[in-house]
This record gives sequence, C-alpha cells and structure tokens, in this order.
Amino acid sequence: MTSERVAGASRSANDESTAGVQTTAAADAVIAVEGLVKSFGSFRAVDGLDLRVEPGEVHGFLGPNGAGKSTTLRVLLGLFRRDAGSVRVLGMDPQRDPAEVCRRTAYVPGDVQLWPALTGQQVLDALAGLRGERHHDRAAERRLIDDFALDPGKRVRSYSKGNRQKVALVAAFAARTPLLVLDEPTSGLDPLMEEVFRSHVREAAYAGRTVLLSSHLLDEVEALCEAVTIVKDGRLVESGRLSAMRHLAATRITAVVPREGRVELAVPTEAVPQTLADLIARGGSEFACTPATLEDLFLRHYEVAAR
Amino acid sequence: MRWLLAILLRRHFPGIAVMSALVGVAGVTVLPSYATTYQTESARTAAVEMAAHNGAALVLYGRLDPPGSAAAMYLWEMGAFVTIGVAVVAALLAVRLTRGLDSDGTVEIARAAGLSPRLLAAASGVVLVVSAAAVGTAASAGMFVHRGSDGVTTEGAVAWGGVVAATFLLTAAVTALAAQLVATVAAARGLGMAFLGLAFIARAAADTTPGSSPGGSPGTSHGSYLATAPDAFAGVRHWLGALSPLGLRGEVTPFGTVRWGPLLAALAAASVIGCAEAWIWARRELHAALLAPATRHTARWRRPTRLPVRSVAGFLARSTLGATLGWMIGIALLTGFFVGMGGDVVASARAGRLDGGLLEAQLGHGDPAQSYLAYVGTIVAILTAGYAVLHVTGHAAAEREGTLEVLRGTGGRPWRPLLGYAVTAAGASACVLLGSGAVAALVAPAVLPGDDMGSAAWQQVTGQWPGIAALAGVAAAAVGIGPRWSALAWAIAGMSAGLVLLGTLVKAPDWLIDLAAFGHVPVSGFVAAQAILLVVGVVATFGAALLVSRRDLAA
Repeated sequence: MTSERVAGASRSANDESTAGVQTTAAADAVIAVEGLVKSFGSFRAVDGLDLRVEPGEVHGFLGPNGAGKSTTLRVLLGLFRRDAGSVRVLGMDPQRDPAEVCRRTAYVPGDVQLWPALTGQQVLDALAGLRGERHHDRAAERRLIDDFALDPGKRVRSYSKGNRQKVALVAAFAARTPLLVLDEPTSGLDPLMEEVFRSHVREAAYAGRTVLLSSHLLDEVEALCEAVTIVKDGRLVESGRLSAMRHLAATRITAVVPREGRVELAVPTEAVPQTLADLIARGGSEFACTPATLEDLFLRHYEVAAR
Repeated sequence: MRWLLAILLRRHFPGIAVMSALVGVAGVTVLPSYATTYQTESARTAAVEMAAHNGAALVLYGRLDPPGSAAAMYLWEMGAFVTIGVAVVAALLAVRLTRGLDSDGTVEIARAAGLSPRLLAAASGVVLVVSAAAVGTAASAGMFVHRGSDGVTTEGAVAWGGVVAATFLLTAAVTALAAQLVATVAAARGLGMAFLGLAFIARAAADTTPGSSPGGSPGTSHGSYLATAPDAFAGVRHWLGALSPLGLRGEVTPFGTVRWGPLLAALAAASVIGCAEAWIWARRELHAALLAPATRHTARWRRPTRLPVRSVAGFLARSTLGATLGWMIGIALLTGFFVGMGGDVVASARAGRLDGGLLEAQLGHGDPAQSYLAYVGTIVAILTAGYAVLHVTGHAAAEREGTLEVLRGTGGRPWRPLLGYAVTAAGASACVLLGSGAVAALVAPAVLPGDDMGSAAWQQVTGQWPGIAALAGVAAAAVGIGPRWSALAWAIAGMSAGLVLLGTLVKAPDWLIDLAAFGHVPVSGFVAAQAILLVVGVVATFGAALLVSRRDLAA
C-alpha cells in the first residue's frame, strides 16, 4: 500500500524537480526528526523531539497548547533554526535548503493572515505565482473554490477567519507538492466545511501525498490519520500507528454481575477474551466492550509526565 | 478601565517619550543659534521686513510681529515645523487609539470584559491628553531653560507649551471624530492627513491675506506681502486661519503680546469635539462606521481581477502600487508648490534681506536660486526617504502580522522577501523623485531667475536618489537584525534630516553634516559621495540578506 502511494505521489506531484529527491526520499521517511531542540532564550520550546512520518501517510500531530507543535512545524519548513538534533524533510535539511523544502511543501499556518487590500483570487494568484505556476494546479483550484464555497472576488479585509482559512486551504490543496503541513487547519471552519476538508485530505492521501496534520480535534485526527505523534512540553509522549496504540491501550468492559451489580473494567486488549470468560462464568450479563479511543489515549498522556 | 489605560499608556509610552524629547531638545539646542544669528535689533527688524514681504515665508512659516526677538524668530521658523510634526503625530496616534483599537481586537476584548464604549473612549482620551501634556511640557521646558535671555519669558514659555499641547489635542480630537466615521484604519489616517492639509492651507491663506496681521483682526496691516486692499473674502480667510490648529501659534504669539483667548478657545473646541467623538463611539456597533466602505465585491458576471506575479518584488510592486502613486502625486504637488514659492525667497536673498535663520542657513552659500533648488531637493528627498523607510520596515510589520510566514511558505530563499522590500523601495523612490523632478523642472524656469533653471531643478531633485537608496539599504539591515530594530532606520533617517536642515544653523562640524544621507548632489556629473552612498546601500542590503537568513522568523 505504501509503495503504491509513493508511486502515486510521484505521478501527482507531476514535476521534474521532485523526481530526483523523491527516489531517495521514497526509501526513507518523508519527515525524519531526531532529538530536535529549539529554545527561545531560556525557554526550551522543543526538547529532544523525535518525529517520523512515512510516505503517503496522514500523520496526526497532537499535544496540548504550548506543547511545541507549531514551533516544530516551523523548524520543518526552515522558518525557525534548530538548536540541536537532525531534521530531514523530503530528504533535505530545511535549515540548509529552506527554499526547496517550502516549494515542495504546502503549508497552512496556525493563524492565517493575508493581505487585506487584495481579493481572495489575487492572494491565490500571488501564492501560485511565487511558488511557480508549474507547481500549482489551476483546475484543482477552481474545484476547491467551489467545494469550499469561497467567494474569491471579495477583499480579504471583508473575510471572516473561516474564509481566510479557506483561501489558505485552497492554495495548499491546489499546490502540486508531495507534502502538506497543516497547522490546526480547520479552526474557524463550520462543520460542513470540516467535512469538505476531510474529503480533500483523504483525496490528497489517495493521490499519494503525505500529510502532517497538527490538530486539537481528536475526532478529526481519529477519522483521518493512520499514525499519530503526541507531544507534551516539547517532548515526545507517544508515537505510532493508531491501531497499535489502541491495541496497547486499555479496553473498557462493562457488565452486570449477580450480587456485585454493574462492574466497569479497563483491561489490556489481549486480556479481553479471558476477562469476558470470567465475567460469563460469574453469571454476568449486559456486556459492553469499548475499544480505547484517541481521546482516551490523549487524556491518559495529558495527565502523566512526558518521558 | 485602569488596566486598559495602563496597557495603552505602556504601548504608546516610547512614541510619546521620543516626540516630547525631540520637541524639548529642539528648543534647548536650536534657540541659541537664533540668538547668535539675530544679535542686533536691526538684524531682527530686517528679518521681520523680509517675513512681511515674502510670499514663500508667509506660506511656510506665517507672519511675524515686529520688532521680533530670538525666541519669536525661533517660534516663527522652527515653531512651524514643530507644530506640523506634533500635529502629524497627534493624527496618527488618534487613529491608533480609536479605529486602530477597533481593528486590532482590543475593543472587542475590552467590551467582552465588561468595559462600556464610553469608558473605552475615555481611556483613549486620557492617553491623548497625557500625550498632549507631555509634549506641551517638553516644549515649555525647552524654552524655559533660556528664561531671561533671547526674549524668553516665563509667560511666553508657558504659552508656547500651551500652543503645542492645544495643537496636538485639537488635531487629535478632529482625527478621532473622523475615525468614527470610516471603517478602516487607512481611511481614518487618510482623513486625518487630509484635515492637516486643509489646516495648513487655511493657515497659509489667512497669513497671505492682505490686511490681516498676526493676532489681530482684518484691516490692521503693517505693510504686508500683498499691499492691496482686503478683498471680499479676507475676513473669511482670516477666520479660517484662526480655526486651523496650525494657525494657533500665530494667534497666541507666545513671545510677543500673549493672547490666551485663542488658546482657551482651542482647548474648549478640542473638548467639545472629543465629547462628540465619545458620544458617537458609545452609540455605534463594533467595527461599524457612519460612512460604510465600498465593498468592492466583484460582481458574479465579472471575472475577479488577477494578480500574476513571479517574484516577491513583483508582488510588492503590484500590491503597493496605489500607495506608491499616492506618495508620488503628493510629493510632486508639494515639490511644485515649494518651487513655485521660490521666486520671492530668491529675490529676498539676492537683495540681502535674508539675514539669518533656517532659510539663510540653506541659501547663504553660492547662487540663491541654485541654493533654493538644493533646499527643495533636500525637502523632497526627506519626504521620499520617509516613504522608502516606511516601505522597507513593512517587512517587520509583515513578520509580526504573519503575512510573511505565508509568503515564505511558498518557497524562495529566506532573504528574498527583504531584498524585495529593499529593491521595490529603491525603485519606487526613483519613480517618486522622477515625478517630482519633472514637476520641478517644469515650474522652476517660470519662477526662478537664471539660466537653465529647469535642468538644475531636475538634477537637485533626482540627484538625491543615492542617499535614499542608502537609507533603504540601512533600513533593510535594521530589519535584518530583527523587526524591533526598525526604529533604528527611522533614527538614522531622522538624524540625517536634522543634520542637513539644522546642521549649519546649530554650527555642527562639516564632517558631521557630510555624514547625512541627503544633500550630496553634484553640480554636474557623478561624485564620490554618491558612489559612496550607493555602495553603502548595496553593502547594507547584502548585510541585511545575510542577517535575515541567519535568524528565526519573528512569528
């Protein structure tokens, strides 16, 4: 599946500038971060973070406010310089080659600010022109404008936060890049537009593009991402495939047992059959077995110290 | 309300402190130069005569009462610049404290925290009153140190401080009222500047009206510039001038016969206008304006205007085209106005009637016509440099606002946006100077005596470009260090302007004056100074590129 998606990425990226690096990047992770440290004065925003995003993956990047998510994303794009550690994005070091990394990455910042005097269409034109027209898909842009119900003729100063977000999303999805880095991309979008956003992330993934999605919306990450990285205080808390993490997390079992009443248990996934057998042997009834949700995982790590 | 007041005062304290310090220091350092220049009563009488008969001097500085003292001469010349500068700052600050608070979200947060619009208006008003009091006190203190000499009296020093404070308050009140009428900061700023332009025209019209005298009523001429009978509109022009905040200095005459009435009237007018502004603010919705802006929505049957660009410089040039054209037209009109007023000044200088002061310092060397054109070229260069520095420091503003993050996210080397800002500033400045140079070349032969005045005017205006390019490069270097350092660019540009305008007057050493970015225009050909300025500009821009590549984006 992964190799198919990488092949798809090469097709959809459709530009010769990506081909050379893609060959080497395909063998490795699209994003490979080891021991990243970034400080602002005496404050250590990112403290030895590891992050690995595989080709064609939609990777969730989770953490409480101030965990260092946006700082990490800016380091990935070369907007911030790291203090220590190694960072490779699409096989390149963003500190040494920020221009090429940015050109091949579509980025939606956490707080989208645009030029108030320009119209939405003029902003899209400018962003496409600066990236290079051959790295931009005009047909996709028109389709995205329709899908997001964006009025590109209005001045940015008259746009709401959600509409500014839509402009950034249209520009990002219409860019012919193998990687999308999205920092809380649905803030300001209504539920209908959130669904449109999800469908376009799925479409991008299907086309072989890799997506790094920083988000607070756990249901969004759960619906879109195959793998997640949870950070807290600039440090890695948990990282891996969502299915594997669920497997490691406790499953919730509730049942009604004679003389004991309703019992509620949290057990490891591998202990579920044995626990159910025990409850049945004790005459239990009204069983309910709920696998761990991302929220459970997140909240569990939210409360414990980062390692 | 206290917390909001504390936030606003803290936010604007640096600006208020710098403005007050500049006004105070101007009085302390420049006034003695006037005392040295106009040592005798005959010298002062000659200067007053010149002032009364010279149209350009009347338009620029207003009228001057005989016999005149060094303090009165200072107020007449420097006072004109001080009041205009203070009024400009007042207008800008008033916009930031009214429509600016609305657009940056402060009003929304404050109202959500339970603060009523009336208290918001009161907090803004208090900051403006504190600023006016600070700058007025500094103006008084700057003169007060010379008390007992040079014609400075305690009453005069207090009156001068009052004039500065009242000019500030009246301008701020009118601009704040205008800011309630329009929806955007830019529109409010535009209205404030338009009001100042009208205030200057009203003051100049009153001062050039036959038969009107400073602090007096129409018909009390003392040998005016236009020794003709008062026309039908003389009274109207006089009263328009009296209503102008920039005319207050001439109405109160701090170091002549002090008239407190106009000062009290101005303060009362500012209070009434301020109350009207607060009344409107308390009754309008968040972000609302009496004059709704045009939505400029592109109709569905029309294709939206496109913006095909390939480089940051191209993007900046296209997106700031309107502002550049505005500066170009505004500075060209001012150039035409200044050159047009030159005939009388040059005639006065040739007749030996320019005896000391700022104009004499500028025109005292060589041919008066050539010197006057050089003076106008310097003024044009200072204004254009203001535009250039403002444009380059736009990089710092974009960095803080977050638009630069979007721009950098499209690819391109980290230094490209800053280089784009510097290149477009230099290019647009060249366009501004070419436009102004063309206007000067057209007007000069018609009003200035001498051969080849057109080409001299063209050369004196356009020849200032290397200095502006150097300042654009220095501004880029300051921004390259970090957005906070953009104030350094303004400080260097301000020092250059101060040195070239006041250096001779305050007897600064020549080598120091030569360090200024302005005024290095050769009579013919290309000189080393221009080459040095261009090298400074290029080296500073390359340094800026290096600096900005080695630091984080300020986000």
